[in-house]
Amino acid sequence: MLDFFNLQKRLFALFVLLLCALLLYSYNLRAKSSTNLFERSILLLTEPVSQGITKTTNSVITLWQDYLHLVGVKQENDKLLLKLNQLSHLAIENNELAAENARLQQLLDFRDSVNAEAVPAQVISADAMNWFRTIIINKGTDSGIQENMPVVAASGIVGRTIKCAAKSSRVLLITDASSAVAALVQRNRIRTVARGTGANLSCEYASRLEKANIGDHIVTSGNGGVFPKGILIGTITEVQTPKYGLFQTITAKPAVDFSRLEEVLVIVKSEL
Amino acid sequence: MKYWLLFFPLSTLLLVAQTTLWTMLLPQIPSPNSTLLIILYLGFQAPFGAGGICAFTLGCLLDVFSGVTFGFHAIILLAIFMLTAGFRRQLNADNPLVLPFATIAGTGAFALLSIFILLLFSDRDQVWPQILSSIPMQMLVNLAAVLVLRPLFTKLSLTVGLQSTTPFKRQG
Repeated sequence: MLDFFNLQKRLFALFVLLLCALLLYSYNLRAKSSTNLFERSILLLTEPVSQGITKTTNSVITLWQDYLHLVGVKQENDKLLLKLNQLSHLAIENNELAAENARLQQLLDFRDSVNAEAVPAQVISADAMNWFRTIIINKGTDSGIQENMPVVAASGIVGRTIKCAAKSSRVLLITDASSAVAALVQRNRIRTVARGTGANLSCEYASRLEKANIGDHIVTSGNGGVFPKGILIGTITEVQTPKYGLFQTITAKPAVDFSRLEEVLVIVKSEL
Repeated sequence: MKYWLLFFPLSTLLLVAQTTLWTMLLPQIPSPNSTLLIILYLGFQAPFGAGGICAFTLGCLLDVFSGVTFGFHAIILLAIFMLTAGFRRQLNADNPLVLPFATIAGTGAFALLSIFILLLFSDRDQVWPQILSSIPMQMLVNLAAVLVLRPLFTKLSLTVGLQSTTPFKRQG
């Protein structure tokens, strides 16, 4: 028996490791809202790199799209081109600043409208796995952000923070399958729960007594304890009322275009 | 320890690139699962102990870079490492087609194990349709990535003296 154990000890060690992994996962499932030391350290170490890469790539993309194309098209006019390039480079910078200014202005207007204390943040990276919908923003506990704080953009709700390190936080988007937001159909106040389905939202438990229409807006109800009331979640794109049953099936498109999301606001204090 | 010292920083670097560069430059194409590819490579290369520890820690690392409960990928990658390392004696690991084949099988196993664990433990149990529908594309992307990354892994392993000049020296 002892010989058998000696022969298979490496395999046993791996099984013990697997058991440890299972226990670790099980423990973390219960302690959902805490960010452990390993996570905080990795996020702290990689945040400057991620932010650097994001900024550099943005600059290169802007340069490539709006500047280098001109070089290829007008090679023969070197002198003029040089001047033109300098000017267009300046124009690009101006346009980029103007666009950023407009986005930030929208965020400021939005912050004023929700009457809440909010921290602006930039999106620095996406989820490593393609089937989960989370992003990382460049603000963390140093800026007063904690787990389970609502994150919004000018066009509507983005999600909530789930992990926070000193200088970065992970945000669970409303389109993730594990996200559920207490919501209302704005027009007729039907209560529902907006659950993520990857790209869209499925509004569950919406009573069939009053019909929702395509184009109706879905807003937060303020009941979930995380999001303030009245923030736009999305627009209804499909309504199915089955012959039997208590509820109607509603599909909604999120108000926020997550593929173009650059700046967000984290609401650190609000009156729900 | 040498395996960990090489592949932990490499995996971190690849994950940072994957979550920043890839999503900005190729937003329509799903990013490759570079950590899975490293684990499959280690499954054919590393001894049980060193490979197992790498699989566990790289799984934890992947958890930090993805919005899932900490420990989730540690289980999956460790299980995949154990499967790969268990089968390597039965396969002709010197054949260059083995790793691409393992990548296809590994991607499928990764997805199925994810669904199984999510259904069993998590409140994310509704994610399985997304996972299932993404498998074919993920396999293609991972396959393309392994063809690019395998020479890099081999070269790095040779450089730090983890591997002999034979690409897949059988161990364990």
